[in-house]
Amino acid sequence: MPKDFILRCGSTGCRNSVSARCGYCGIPLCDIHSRTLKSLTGDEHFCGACHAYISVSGLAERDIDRHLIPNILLSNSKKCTGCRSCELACSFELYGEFSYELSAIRVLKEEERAKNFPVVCLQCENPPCVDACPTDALIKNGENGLVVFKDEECNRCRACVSACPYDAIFFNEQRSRIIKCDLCSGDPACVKACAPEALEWIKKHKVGERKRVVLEMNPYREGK
Amino acid sequence: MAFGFCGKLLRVDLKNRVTSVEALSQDLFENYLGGRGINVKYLLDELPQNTDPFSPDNVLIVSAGSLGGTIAPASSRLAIAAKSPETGLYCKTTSGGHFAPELKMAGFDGIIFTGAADEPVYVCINDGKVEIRDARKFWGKDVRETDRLLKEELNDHRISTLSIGPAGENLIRYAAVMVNIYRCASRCGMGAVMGSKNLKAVAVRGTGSVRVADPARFKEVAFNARESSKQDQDRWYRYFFFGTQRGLVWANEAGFNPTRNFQTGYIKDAYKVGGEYIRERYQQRETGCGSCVINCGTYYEMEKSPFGPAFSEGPEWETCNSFGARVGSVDTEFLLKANEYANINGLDISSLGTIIGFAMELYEKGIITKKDTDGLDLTWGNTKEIFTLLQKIVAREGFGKLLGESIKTIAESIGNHAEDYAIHVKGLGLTSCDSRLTKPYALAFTVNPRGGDHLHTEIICQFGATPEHVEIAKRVSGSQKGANPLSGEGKTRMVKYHEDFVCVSDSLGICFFHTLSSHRVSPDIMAELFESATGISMSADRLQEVGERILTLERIFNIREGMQRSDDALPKRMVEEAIPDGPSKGRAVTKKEIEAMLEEYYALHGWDPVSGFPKKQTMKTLSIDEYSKYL
Repeated sequence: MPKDFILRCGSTGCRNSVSARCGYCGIPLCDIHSRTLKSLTGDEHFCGACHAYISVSGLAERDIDRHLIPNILLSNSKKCTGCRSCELACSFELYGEFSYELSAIRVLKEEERAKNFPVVCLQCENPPCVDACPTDALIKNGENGLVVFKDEECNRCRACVSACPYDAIFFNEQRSRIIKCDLCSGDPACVKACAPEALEWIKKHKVGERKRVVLEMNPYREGK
Repeated sequence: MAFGFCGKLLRVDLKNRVTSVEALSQDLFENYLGGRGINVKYLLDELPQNTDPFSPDNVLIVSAGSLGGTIAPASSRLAIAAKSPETGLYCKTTSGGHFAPELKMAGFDGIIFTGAADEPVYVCINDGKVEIRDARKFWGKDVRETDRLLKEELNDHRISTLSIGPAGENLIRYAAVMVNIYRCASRCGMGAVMGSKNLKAVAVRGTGSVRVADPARFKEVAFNARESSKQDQDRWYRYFFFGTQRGLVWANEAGFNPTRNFQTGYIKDAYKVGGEYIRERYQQRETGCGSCVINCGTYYEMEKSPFGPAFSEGPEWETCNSFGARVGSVDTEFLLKANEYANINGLDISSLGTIIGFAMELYEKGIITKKDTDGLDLTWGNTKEIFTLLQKIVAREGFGKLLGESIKTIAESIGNHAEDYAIHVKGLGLTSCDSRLTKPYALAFTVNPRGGDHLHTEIICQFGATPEHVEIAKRVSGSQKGANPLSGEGKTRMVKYHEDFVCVSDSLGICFFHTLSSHRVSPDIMAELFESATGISMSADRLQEVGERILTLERIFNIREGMQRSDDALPKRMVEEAIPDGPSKGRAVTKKEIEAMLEEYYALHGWDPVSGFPKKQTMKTLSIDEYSKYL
């Protein structure tokens, strides 16, 4: 390894230098991402780079009760078949068109091993995208817990895209706009389109018993 | 603005390395719907008569259905057509995956490849931008590696690829085109056509969108269809858990699981190569094609076996039979390894199974000996030697060189009555259903324009598995014995109904697991989907007319390339021998029965019963009389 090598944050899209290490997967993380995830999960053992095993037990007990939306969106990569119906349903709901690129949910695919990972905004408690946003385009709605995006306030700087530890907020070049999940005002279209039931929209009081995101492994690290 | 379809066709001249875009008119979609329909029209228009399939003049057409890229159930079928090197006749082959939706989102309904490149190339489509790039470094690589290298070179993990493996490069006449690595447009050797054009792969990425004319109505119809399909699966088929291979054990118990090159229909311990066994021991997860509800794909991993470790999608019904009963084996480990090997090298497993089974029977009968087979002992179930043979076929060494030809050529060059054991129709090896047990299959295999193949009709309702199917079978056959596969009554009408709408289904790009196999997306729903997506008014009757038009054009193409009525015939074994043992002992379909059904069939289509040629009047009704010059 060259001497001037600077270790970069393991969270996808982040280029910050490292100040901490994930207690679970051992990947180096920058200040922002280690802090964010600690506050999100209330548990040091989970990090943005793993993308895996994000326990919401803490979240469920402490914070979810404040949500006006009574349900929570769960994604389960073990069940996902990679048909990408959710992407089409999402873009159709948001824009009335079918497009993989206009969708706020994306299925990360590793075709060789037939692995599929639905990635969707988790509506974090302390959202890094909101922290990163220089304008008021992204705000955390204190009442229902949604991270709300307002297009008219957005200056297209894409700071939120690089800040998101889950790669769950997108920028569309052609339309020049940010694409962000708004949970379809409490009735997500992706869930209705998901035949294998990898996406579930379940009552929040049941969430504590289950993991918010179920992944078999880390798509970024083991996939290579 | 075009709704549903894009109205653009990409032309790629590989010889001069230029590309151009052609506009497609709305009329074309009204009369041919897209996908398979457009393919056959363009093939007839552009392919010179009597072209050698491997010559640069052969035209390769890849196109998406008119509903491709939408949320209509499994609307992601991709149709590929060219003159087949395996049969020398018309070829249509379809595949799932994500290529078709991506192609539509890139702004094209289809791609026509003409000419041949002087060096290996691949075509990269990024929205409207098309490049023909150097593929010398990918040549010789297997499909999996090609896909990986393409994603690395283009620095985009969301591309969809269509590629060939070493089988296609080595011009094996039944090489397949692999879509998204494991999905497969397998039959009739389209991979070899790509190989002959030095076209290693096509990579596509679309960031545009597919619009529909009436979003509210389309949403309602499409989601209702999806729900209905899903209920049907949950209730009856359960392809989601077991894949299509689930039916194999049932087929074996019914005695129509082709065994030892179609000698019989039953093998002991068939469960070892069936879906349930594989799911319990090796299956890791389920996969699905674009916008599917059924998700019949499965993925397995095998850590160790005498043949080495293996991981791949599949093995599907055809594979379980081709590498199982058809070569007299119930060796799960061999099945899983051979499936991976054939997949990543890009082979059509159905034809491969038929050809290996054929060679093994010749060996059994003493027509070929160890001298011919390079010392390989091809006794039934000798999986170790079969795997060696498989490797020889891909590399085209020794005996494998001969076996890389079509089954008809192999039989001719071996001579000595080898033809009697070659199970094929029009040069294409039969798929894994014994046509002696069901009359509709027997007829459908006979008349299929591309050769013996269940995908021409896939009549599931004939078995009457559900009360709904019994009703449908009675309705479409017009007979009380509709749901009895052993009776020939009304089965001609049943075949015609299914083949017409399979044409429609292929042209719309919907997988017929949703349409003609489960009957959940009925012709009325297909018409509604098409109408609300494209804004072109459509009804089930008009769809059927389109189906007839496509079929008649396919027939005209075959006649132009020299097909006779006598080519509409089942192999000798299937009409002269009865099933000798097993649960279906004594079942047979005679030549006389087939002839009677054929005459009725031609009459239903408005074709001449003696010559099998479409009548002038029929062509006029279908407004394709311009093609009468080919007859």
